[in-house]
Amino acid sequence: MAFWTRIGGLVLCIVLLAGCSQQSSATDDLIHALTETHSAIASSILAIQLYDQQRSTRAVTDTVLGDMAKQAVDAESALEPISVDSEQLKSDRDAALAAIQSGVAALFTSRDNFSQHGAVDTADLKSADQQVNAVLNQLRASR
Amino acid sequence: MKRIFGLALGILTAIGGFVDIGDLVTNAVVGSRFGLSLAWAVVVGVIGICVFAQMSGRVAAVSGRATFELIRERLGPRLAVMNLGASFLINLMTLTAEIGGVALALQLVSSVNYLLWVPFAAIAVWLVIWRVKFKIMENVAGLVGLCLIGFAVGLFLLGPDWGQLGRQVLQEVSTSTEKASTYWFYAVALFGAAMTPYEVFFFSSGAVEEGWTTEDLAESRANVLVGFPLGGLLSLAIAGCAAVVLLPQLIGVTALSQVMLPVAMAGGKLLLALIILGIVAATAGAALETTLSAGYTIAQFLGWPWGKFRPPAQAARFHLLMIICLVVGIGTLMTGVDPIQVTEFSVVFSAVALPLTYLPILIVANDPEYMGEHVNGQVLMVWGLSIW
Repeated sequence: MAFWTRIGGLVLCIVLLAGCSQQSSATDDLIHALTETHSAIASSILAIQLYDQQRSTRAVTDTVLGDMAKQAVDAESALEPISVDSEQLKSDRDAALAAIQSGVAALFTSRDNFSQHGAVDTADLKSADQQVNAVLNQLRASR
Repeated sequence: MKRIFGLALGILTAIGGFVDIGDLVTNAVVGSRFGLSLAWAVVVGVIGICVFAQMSGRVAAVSGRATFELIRERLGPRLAVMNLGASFLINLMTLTAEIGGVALALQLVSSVNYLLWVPFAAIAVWLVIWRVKFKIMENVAGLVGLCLIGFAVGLFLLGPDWGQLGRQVLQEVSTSTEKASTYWFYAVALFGAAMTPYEVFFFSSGAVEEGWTTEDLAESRANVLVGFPLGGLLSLAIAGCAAVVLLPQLIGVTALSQVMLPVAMAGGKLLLALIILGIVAATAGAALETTLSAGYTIAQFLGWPWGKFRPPAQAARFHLLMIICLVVGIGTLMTGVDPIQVTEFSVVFSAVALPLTYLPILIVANDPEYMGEHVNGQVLMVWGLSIW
């Protein structure tokens, strides 16, 4: 009897540990996706600023904006396979998704505006970056 | 005077030819994520490539035969085929990454999607191999690749806090997003980027192409021992630029275009143009070397006629093989696979397969039957074994 109690305890510990590590892993995935999105937005803002200061060429800026829009889309796609098994995680995932989607939208708008007009206002990008950073800081604090 | 000019040209070519897409991408990624805290991995990699490149050059100069001919003869076909398989696959991956690198660099000039540049880049590589003399090909790519010195200029123009950069070299940079496993992954990647196997095969086969003898050993040693470490400094300058501009903003490099941002900030359009020219030359030069290395390895192993010193009609299988490798590279890139990811895989595999790719060179260079009085000394043998 004592043997089976010990085995039961061990299995319970493993399940709990696996559950905790899964939760931790899911949070890590969210943080990773948000970090990638922040990186994409910050790169785009820097590229536009350098172009405005006439330190960079149109082709380089165009390429940076295109690459970064793609990177943000990849970050958004990376959230799809994350399984949500708690209310807290669901809330975190929804907040991360909303922030990343606002980043993706700002990046695509900037890319399109730049290729059409050769000029972009970075206000949307900065606002999206603030949203991403807020969720990122919140998740890091909760980890 | 002619000898001094030849020596200077060789060293400059070695510096310009040291950096390829693997060094560019890996150093920029590491600089943007870890600052200069992984500089030690670059130093270890540079020591490694110096030891093995001069060893393979010496083997070729003494024996008049290239690496794979000797490996098969010394180890027998069964063991040698493992070496060949690992080397060829890594080389093919590197070739694909380099063609992708040329295409990405051309996109930075034109805004035209890199996929449209891929076939043109590959055809240009084939035309150069077909038509241009070995010496001209090697020197032009290496000398134009020297434009990458712009990264070192850029680092100075950025006016960094040198004390802080120095502290990064001595201690691990802790960022809230990086794990210890990631740190070690990139340490291996940096080591692999410096020690890509094609550099050694190209160096040894090039020695045969140029007809080196034991009289050329001093010059080849100087090329390696001066040129490669200076090339390593260029790698560190790439990481330094990323560390100064991108790391504080938590921008992680995932695309070649991001590598341009610190350069533009430092030196504006002029430096940007110089660096892009350097990247095109460096990646095109490496694409030429990897394509030739693909031909060299298989042809030398199977005993086919090889080399650019022969007219293509006399080395038809060697040239056909290179065309096939280029077509495979184009096909792989056309699937839409990210050239930067191919690059990261190729440098990591270079490091992982290092025992397979470099051990045979060490065995041959340690064998007095092949090397006579030029056999590895005790110190070199210990260096080679410790790196291996």
